[in-house]
Amino acid sequence: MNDRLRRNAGADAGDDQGEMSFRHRPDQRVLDALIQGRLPAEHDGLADVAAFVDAVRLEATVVPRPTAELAAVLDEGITVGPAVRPVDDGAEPSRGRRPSARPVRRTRQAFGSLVASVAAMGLATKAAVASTAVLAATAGAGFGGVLPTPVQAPFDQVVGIDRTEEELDRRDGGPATPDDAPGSPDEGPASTGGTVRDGPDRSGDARRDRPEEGTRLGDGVSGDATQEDDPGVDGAEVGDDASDGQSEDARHGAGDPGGDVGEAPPEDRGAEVEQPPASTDQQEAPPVDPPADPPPADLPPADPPPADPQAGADGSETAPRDAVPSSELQPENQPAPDPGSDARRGATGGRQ
Amino acid sequence: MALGPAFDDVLAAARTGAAWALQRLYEDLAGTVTGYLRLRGATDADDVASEAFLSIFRALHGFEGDEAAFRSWVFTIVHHRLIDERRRAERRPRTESVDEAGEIASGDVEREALDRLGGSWVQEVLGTLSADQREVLLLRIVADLSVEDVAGILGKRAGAVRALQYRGIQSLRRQLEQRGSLSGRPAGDGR
Repeated sequence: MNDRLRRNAGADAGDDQGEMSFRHRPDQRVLDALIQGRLPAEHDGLADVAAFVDAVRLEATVVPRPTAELAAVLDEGITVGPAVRPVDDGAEPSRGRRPSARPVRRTRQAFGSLVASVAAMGLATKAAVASTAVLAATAGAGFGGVLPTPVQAPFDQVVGIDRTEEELDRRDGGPATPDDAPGSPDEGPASTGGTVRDGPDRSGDARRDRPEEGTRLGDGVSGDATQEDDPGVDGAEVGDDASDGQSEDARHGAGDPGGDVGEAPPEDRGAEVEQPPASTDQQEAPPVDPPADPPPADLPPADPPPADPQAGADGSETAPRDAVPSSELQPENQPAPDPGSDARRGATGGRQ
Repeated sequence: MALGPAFDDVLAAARTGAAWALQRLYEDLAGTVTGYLRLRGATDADDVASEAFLSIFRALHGFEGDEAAFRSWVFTIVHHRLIDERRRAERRPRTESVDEAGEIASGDVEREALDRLGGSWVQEVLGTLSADQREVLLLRIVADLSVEDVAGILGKRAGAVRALQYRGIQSLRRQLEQRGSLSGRPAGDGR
């Protein structure tokens, strides 16, 4: 240790050759001042070094000529990295695309994971999952009321859903006859449910505006009435409706799929059926003027049905409409000649 | 030389790519950077400096700090640029004759570059220093960096940098004494 210190000290002394500054190690502050060109005057032994330092600094004062690329940047500025963009640059920052890209990436990842999970399942598991998915989708659609009408009606019966007219309007966008209407949902919404319920005058307007829809609905009624698999279950419902003090017309109308009144709540059916729709008028029944007022409470109940469907001002207006399909259906599955029964059967067929 | 109080505003504008701010930064540092590269023996100091400034300007958004820190950051980039340029130069095939190569081959690439550049009295004196001493003294004198900053750039401890600085100045003093006083240097050799 002492030898090394002695050797270093000797080297310094020998190199300095009498220079005062290096006989002992100069203070760091002196060196800093020397390098910065602020050498105190008392350090004359370092004057040459201080002059050399100044000469070195002079070497670094000439601004060079930039390359063409750098000159362009200095003249026009530069579009710097992703975090910052030039103030005068109107372009969208590249960072702006990231937020929209991330959800897409996440969605893709989630979808990929789902596909991988399904692929890893066994055959039985896949079948079970698929069945569950279909069942859930069907149930959801059924509760949402977006199933096709022939499926939606039984679904509603099974689960006991009593849909309001608004729901039916929303679902079908057409004839608000979810239980009875055999037609497609695109059969004129305004000309059927809404108008009949609101009043006869409007119903008449609807008939005048769109008579062909009524015709189609009437065809549907006939088709429903002639179905062989008609269980006739809903005839009891019609009977119940009739027993509530409503007229035969009301009972018939409640079961009349072509009457555009099945959409209404049960308590409104009596009033609605007094307004025969255009469809039945044109094809199966003579046009009648539906009364604007609800039916009187003292009208005869469903039993006994009128012997002559054509007779009676009120009771006859719907009987001929159903008499035709009933007669057609009679040899097959309608043993009773009672037109009221036919009407009830028609109602049942329409609900299927 | 330094931007002083205006540095923050200039840097903020330069980070957005504003041309005027980039020009201010370039004018403030280009001479120093190029002088450092030249005295370090860069073959084409101007081109290396331009490449370094392009890198600096493109990376400005990643810098945070004051003017001293910015200066240190700039010379860190320049130092690495110089190292890259040296490596490329070493891979390039040489065109000197055998005699020429034998004369200058001394094992110190930087000294060889300084010898090849020739002419400058300052460069001749610097060529007598070791590479480490030269690096430390140039970063301290030309770049005006602190010992700590120099240590950070070179990847050394501050004590080692101080030791190199001391030995470098000692060596300079001996060289200058051997060459006579600065007043006795060849006339017209201002560089």
